[in-house]
Amino acid sequence: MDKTAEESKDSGAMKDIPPDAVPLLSGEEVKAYLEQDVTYLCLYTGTKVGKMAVTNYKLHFQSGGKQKDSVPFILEVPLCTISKVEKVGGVTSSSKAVDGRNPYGLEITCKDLRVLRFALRHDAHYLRRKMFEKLQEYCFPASNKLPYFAFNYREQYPDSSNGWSLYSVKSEFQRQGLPVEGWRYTKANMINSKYELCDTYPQLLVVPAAANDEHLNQVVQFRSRGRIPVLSWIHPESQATITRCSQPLIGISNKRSRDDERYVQMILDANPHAHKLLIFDARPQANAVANMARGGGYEKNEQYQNAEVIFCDIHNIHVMRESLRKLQDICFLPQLSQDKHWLSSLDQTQWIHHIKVILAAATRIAHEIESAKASVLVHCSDGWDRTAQLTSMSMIMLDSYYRTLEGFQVLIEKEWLSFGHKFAQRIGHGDKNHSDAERSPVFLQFIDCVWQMTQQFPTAFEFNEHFLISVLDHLYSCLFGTFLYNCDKERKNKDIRKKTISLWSMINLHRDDYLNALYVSTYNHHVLLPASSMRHLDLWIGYYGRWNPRMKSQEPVAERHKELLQVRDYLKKQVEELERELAIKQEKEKAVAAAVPNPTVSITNH
Amino acid sequence: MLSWLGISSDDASNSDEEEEARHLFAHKFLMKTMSENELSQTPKVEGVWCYNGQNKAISGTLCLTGHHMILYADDTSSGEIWIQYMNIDAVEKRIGLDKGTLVLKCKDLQQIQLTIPGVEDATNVAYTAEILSSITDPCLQFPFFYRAKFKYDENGWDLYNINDWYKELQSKTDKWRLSDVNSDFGVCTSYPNQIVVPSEIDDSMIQKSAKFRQAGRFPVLCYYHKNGASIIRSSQPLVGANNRRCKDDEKLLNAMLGPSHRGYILDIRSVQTAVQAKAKGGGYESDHQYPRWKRFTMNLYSYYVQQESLIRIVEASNDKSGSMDRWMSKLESSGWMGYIKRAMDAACLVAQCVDREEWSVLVHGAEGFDSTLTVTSLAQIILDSECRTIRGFLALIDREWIYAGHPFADRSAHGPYSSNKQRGESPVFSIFLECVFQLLHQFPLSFEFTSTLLVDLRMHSYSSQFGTFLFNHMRDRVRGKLHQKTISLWTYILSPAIFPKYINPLYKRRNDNIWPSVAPQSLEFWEELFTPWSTPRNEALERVKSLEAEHIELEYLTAKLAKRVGNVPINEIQNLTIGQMDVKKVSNRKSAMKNEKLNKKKNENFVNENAAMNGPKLLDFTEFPRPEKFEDLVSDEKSNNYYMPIDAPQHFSNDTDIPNGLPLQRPNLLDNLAAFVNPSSSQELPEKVETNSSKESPLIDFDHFSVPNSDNSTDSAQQSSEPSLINIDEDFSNEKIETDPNLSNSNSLNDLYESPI
Repeated sequence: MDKTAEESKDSGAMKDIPPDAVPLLSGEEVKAYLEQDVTYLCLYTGTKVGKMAVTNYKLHFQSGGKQKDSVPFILEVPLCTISKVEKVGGVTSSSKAVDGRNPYGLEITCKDLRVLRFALRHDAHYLRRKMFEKLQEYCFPASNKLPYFAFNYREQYPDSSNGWSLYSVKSEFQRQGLPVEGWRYTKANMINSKYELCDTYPQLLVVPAAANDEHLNQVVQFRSRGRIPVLSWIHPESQATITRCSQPLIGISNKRSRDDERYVQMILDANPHAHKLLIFDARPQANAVANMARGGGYEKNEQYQNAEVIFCDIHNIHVMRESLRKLQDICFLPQLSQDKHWLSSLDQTQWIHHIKVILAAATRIAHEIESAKASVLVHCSDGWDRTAQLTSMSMIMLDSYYRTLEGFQVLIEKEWLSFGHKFAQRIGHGDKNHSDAERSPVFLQFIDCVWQMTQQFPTAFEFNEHFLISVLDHLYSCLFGTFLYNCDKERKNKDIRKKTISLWSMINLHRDDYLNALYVSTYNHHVLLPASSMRHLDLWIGYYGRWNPRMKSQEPVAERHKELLQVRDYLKKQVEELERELAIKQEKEKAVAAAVPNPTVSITNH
Repeated sequence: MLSWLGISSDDASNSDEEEEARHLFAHKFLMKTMSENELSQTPKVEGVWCYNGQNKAISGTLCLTGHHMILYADDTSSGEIWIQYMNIDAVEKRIGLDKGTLVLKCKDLQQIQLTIPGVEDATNVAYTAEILSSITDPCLQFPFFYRAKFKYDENGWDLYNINDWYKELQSKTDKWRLSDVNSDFGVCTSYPNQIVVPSEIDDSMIQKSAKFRQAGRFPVLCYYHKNGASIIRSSQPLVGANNRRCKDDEKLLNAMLGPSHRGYILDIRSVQTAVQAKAKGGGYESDHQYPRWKRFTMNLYSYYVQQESLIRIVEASNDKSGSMDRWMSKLESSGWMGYIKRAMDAACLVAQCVDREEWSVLVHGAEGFDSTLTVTSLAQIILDSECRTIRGFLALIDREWIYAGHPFADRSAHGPYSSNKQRGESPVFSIFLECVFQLLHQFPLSFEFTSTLLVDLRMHSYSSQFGTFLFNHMRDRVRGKLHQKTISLWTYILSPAIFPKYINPLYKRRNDNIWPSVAPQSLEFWEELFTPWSTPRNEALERVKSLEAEHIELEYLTAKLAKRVGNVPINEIQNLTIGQMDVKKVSNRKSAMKNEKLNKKKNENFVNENAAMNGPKLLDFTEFPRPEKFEDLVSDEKSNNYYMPIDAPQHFSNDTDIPNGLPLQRPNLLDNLAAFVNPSSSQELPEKVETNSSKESPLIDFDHFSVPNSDNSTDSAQQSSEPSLINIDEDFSNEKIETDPNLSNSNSLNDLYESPI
């Protein structure tokens, strides 16, 4: 042990590790390595002894040593998934001793709800410190002024599946039916091409045709962070629209802006069927009112005469963060004593309740658009968290395109990435400050809502649960550039399209793995309204409980579904082959018949 | 005909004149027998609106017959709605000025609202419904008046036959014989006339044993496992305050032991109740008199507590007030899921004792015909793949419930809505069905049937046109000539038109045990049953069914084309093994109804081949959800997917559960681990795990469970059983209940389940 310690003392570059010890991605390098005597303390399956390595991308643990022939246990965690690394035991915290023994090691808390514990040898102070330092360094690249691993990742993906070229504003709106009479694109090189109108919006926006650029510049003044109402989705037939924005800057003095009022009226006028614009304020009314003290507020009836404000009662990021924390507590550290109260403790986390509120509001939006042909304006405070949840969920309900693998990617690119959901802040990519109040599982909730819908409409979605989980895993992993940074502008500045790989490149290359075998096209052009009663919502065990073996699914239904499809395809192929053979045979017979004219031989084609 | 009332379209054909006449006759007959001459009848009301909370309201003419209220919809496309009086649990009436609204709350948890014009008519209808729904004489009920109008190939009464069952048993062992001791139901009224007992025990000993057991329910065999251990059930021994004993009962039980000569007695009452029972003449087997048996308790609560819980969960499910915030807390405080969990717990425990330790298990509570049956039948589903087929499952219900004397007539007299005074009704059978639902939910590929069958069975157990669930005991059934006068529900389920409705298209026979997770996280709320008005269709299954139909079509096309091409014989195509057994299964299913036995054999052959071929390949299960290449995060749990319920370590640990660490070592770890580990987890484990760890590879472990005949596994079985036997002997020599690991476990388990009431 001492020997290893001395050896690794000088090896900053880690040249002396065996080449096959850690499987590496291209661009990945081992930064720290402990060859033996690391014990992984799994909550459910006992301890595993093995080796541990830290690279610039992941933490790698592999059991082994004594039992060479058994299947090694491998644990890999992308470093950016880690939110907190702590030393456990040792001189400072002898109070944590268990059964007279003083555990000594590292405790690693992950954003995907795991808590990993590694025990090290007591006499290996130096090694632990080194491991800890390396973890601190590479887990939090943003705090240490290091690049994310996405910038080092050198894997080659074919151009045909390049995820960066997946989404373009124009082609997406064309798909929705633009150009139409009431709406126009903002002119290139005029508005927001350098993000001067709103730095968290994309460069190209779709606004009411009636509003000129000067007007837009006025409206910008009256909306929080300049996030003016812009088009998200338009109904191909009724031209009912979903528009999104931030709160109006009304404040305590009840300011008003004629320009903004006129602008809202223009949105309404663009829809020939509607007499009233429905404004969905995602917040609880109390919060909206409280925001007036901070200069915000909501559209009041007196000023916006043809608008109706509906409050959706979705709580803010802090409430959601707290809810997830509670959920993590009961999911990841279930103690036997909690079992009999499982349901009520799940109830207390309020997690499913929050999901329910989001789903219910989105369902209402979809319903208003489809049935009442109403146009809808959605906002919360800043219009990048709850607003994104509501617009994207209702778009999934309304438009079957977003239920396909490609469409869902477009939806994330559009509603979440381009409209500036602050991924870097909400996730805390590579950020040391694990208790940052800006972190919140907003996007996770969105994926959870989608999952709830896939449960209720198992044949309506082209992608499967594995896809949703993969998206969430790479939300944290920083292996791909997709979710890095807060908004379009930052991403452009960092040139991520050139320097990193898109998550969708990887997904689309392995497309088959993410397809739902049960998908049928019957639901195309159907609006799906999920039941959002608590009775019909489930906890997503497949995600939240996936580290807990006793919460796992026991039989691979999805595999079975795939199998059935394979059988069908096989049979189809058989039929085709036989048909071909038959055709050949008939040709031959015809030839024979032609050669030997015989009235008794007649060939029927049935 | 609307299927949502559970009455199939076959009944529609009953509405011809002859049938109606018969119903009217029955109606008059009933009125007479009740000597309700003053009853002013309203046989027919027009302009009634019917709404069940699910479909649109329907208007029509309501007719009252002897057993049904029938609504003939004005719009003929809506068909007819039949409501059997037996299904009506409570009638809630709100009489207005010119109309009355009746809410019929049904035992199958449906609620039907009828709006009837005319106050008098409404009152009469309500009155008739109330009177006729409270008839208790089974001979007056609909099954005795119902004639099958559907086509069927086999008589459901013949599905289960103890002689067949015994023959199968004989092929495995000659230790048992078929006894006619109860041929006139003199020994035990609630047992069938023929009973399987140990060969070495003669009838006189059985009679003595029967006198020593409550209601004469002496220990009988329910399940004989391939390793020689068996599951036995009985009622409590009549030990009484004087500590009586019965040597014949002791001999009888000892004769039932398997090759290990050891057995467990699972008492499903709480320790306290068992002790208290002594004062009332009952009691439990003492360790002195039954030295080969080790007794432990697991409280499953008595039947009336379960009924109260049912009332609460139904109340919570029906709460449409919108204050759904506390839904899960309400669900929890109903205690219902707790009963489900507990029953599954007990069944797992029994199954594990039998399968792993090779000890026989005797299960009893007080009378031994309620939760006892839940435990024994669930354990069989876990252990025996035959019970997971439709026929096997129906036979199991016959064997373990109907012939075993579960008092269906008493237990399903009322549902959760009834305000009548309780007469011993209880959802024991419903709990069993829901446990099966949970198994089905966890193992969607391992059951031949879907949950529709379970919902329908539950409904029929409350009200039915079939005789299957009538009466309490076999004696009454024989006296009432049930088999001659009524039609079996099984006849209906197995009829060619109905059978496919219940088939699970995902079914893939596997012959090994299924070990469910009993963690509360794994238990599902049964929406289909409790909130039938808002449960979406199971689209996934429908989709799979349509895929199967496509398969059949394509297969047919292939065969046709092949015939025309002329160079591929059809047989070959049908025997294609495209990776899996689907094609074969499909072709089997087509002729399944006709030569069932032949097909069964075929299937078995095929499955065996398959197991031999693909046995280890089943490990693919562990790769779900399949991890991504570069991110073997999931490998974390790769090695332990085939887990036993970790939740209850006392159930044993699957070796793969604890690959190289013993639970007893865990307290050395960090804080949370100490709390996680149940310190009392089975003390026999160390030896077991050590012997198994010498084999190391989880692959081999798996073989050990699935292919018991291989040399490898028998070796390991011997190895592992030896040390544990020694250990157990030590326990016996101590004869201290306190040190008994299982007893202490069950206590700690009891702590877990403090009643939420």
